[in-house]
Amino acid sequence: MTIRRYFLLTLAVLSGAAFALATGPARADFASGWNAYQKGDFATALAEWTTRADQGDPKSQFNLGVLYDEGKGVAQDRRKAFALWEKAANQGYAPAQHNLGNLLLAGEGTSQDVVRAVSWLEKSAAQGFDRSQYTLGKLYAEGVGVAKDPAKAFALIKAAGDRGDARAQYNIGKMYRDGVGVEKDATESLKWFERAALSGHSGAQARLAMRYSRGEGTARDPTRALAWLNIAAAAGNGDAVTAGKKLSSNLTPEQVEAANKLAAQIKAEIKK
Amino acid sequence: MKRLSRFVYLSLIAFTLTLGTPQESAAQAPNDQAAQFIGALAQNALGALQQPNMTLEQRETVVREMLRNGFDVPFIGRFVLGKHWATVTNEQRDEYQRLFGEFVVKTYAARLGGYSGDKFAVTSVRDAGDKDVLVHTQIVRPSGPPLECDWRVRVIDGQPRIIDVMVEGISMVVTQRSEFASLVQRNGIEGLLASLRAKTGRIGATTSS
Repeated sequence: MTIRRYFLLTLAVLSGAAFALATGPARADFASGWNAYQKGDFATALAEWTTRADQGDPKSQFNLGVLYDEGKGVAQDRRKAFALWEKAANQGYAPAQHNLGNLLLAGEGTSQDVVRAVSWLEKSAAQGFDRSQYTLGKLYAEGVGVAKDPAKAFALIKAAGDRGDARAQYNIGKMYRDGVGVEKDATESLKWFERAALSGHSGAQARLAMRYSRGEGTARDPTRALAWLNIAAAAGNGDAVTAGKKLSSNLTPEQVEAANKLAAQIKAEIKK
Repeated sequence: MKRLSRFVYLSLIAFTLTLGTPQESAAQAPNDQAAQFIGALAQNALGALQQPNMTLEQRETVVREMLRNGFDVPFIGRFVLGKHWATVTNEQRDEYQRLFGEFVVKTYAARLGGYSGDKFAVTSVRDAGDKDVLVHTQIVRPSGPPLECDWRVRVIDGQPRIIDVMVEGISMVVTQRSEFASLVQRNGIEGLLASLRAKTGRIGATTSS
């Protein structure tokens, strides 16, 4: 080996070492944990996020809590998940406030405490976290652990529905239909069932089909009814399969064909 | 299946699982069919979890959907709710079945394995009563303790379906039936739905800030 080549090699080794120092274990970071997690390398994710969590990073505390909650890369330990989420929640991190509220509601990893659960869910809901708005809205709608408050329930579920939560949209449709927390309104009800159906909610798809089939809150439209039944059936709704067969037998082949075409169009819309 | 012939059947199962091609022509012994059914679910989970170009959350959603189709959710859900089934409204029933299905697949999907480095094996198969077969599986993971469980499989309308899962000998349906009964007793069906919503409502790992 010539001196020149030896020198170059040394340089390469040295710069390699410098690079390793800059990017190696000393710089445990959230992103490398995330990349490892996506590859299913939970041991690396655990190591990266543990370091960052100990340094107080709320996102790492949260994701580390998920690893313990789901037993990924480590034995399942919900108490540990609870403790980690509590740290992140105390720093105002909404996903952690949401999960903490759910553990407290279910009594998992801790003893059940609905009052504390509601207080955490209020915090994340106030930050606009739609899953919390929905969960909290259902508690107020059904009066579980809190005094029943239909108006508050409607406001919360409506907020979640506006942000695109399919289950919330379906519930708004029901609340307008039954006049719970809001004045009865068949047209609004149909509109929200339609939004939930377009968000992929199979229960809403089946319900919407019944509306079109009977002409409730809208003109009767058996073709559109069958289209929605086909979509709900494809999404695994058992009742829609039966109802679809029954409705098809009362329609002309042209109507059935038109319904299939319409279903394909709507499906493309849902995928967007 | 009698105890004596278990070894023969297990060898057969190991053989067919290695081949990875279910034999559909000849009438299969129920034990073979059940073992192949669970083996195929694990194989499919592996395929789905190794998909590139999808987030882990999306891949896990695919696996949960597959497992959900493997379970007879309406059958178990109704059994677990017991006498209360008759007293709830249709809409409550719909929501209960949806949440219960989510709860079951969320709880047991990891026991199919499929993550990097997981080693899945059907380790034994045995009769359970007249109609059912218990398929014992084990996942050895690169980190974390091994996951073992028994899948109770029954052939319903010609299709093998999972109707219970047992972990360390404890039956999911028996446990849930008594837990759900006490929840309904305390807070009505709404209390049970709220609890299921909480158990299935936690979100997974995220980059959101």
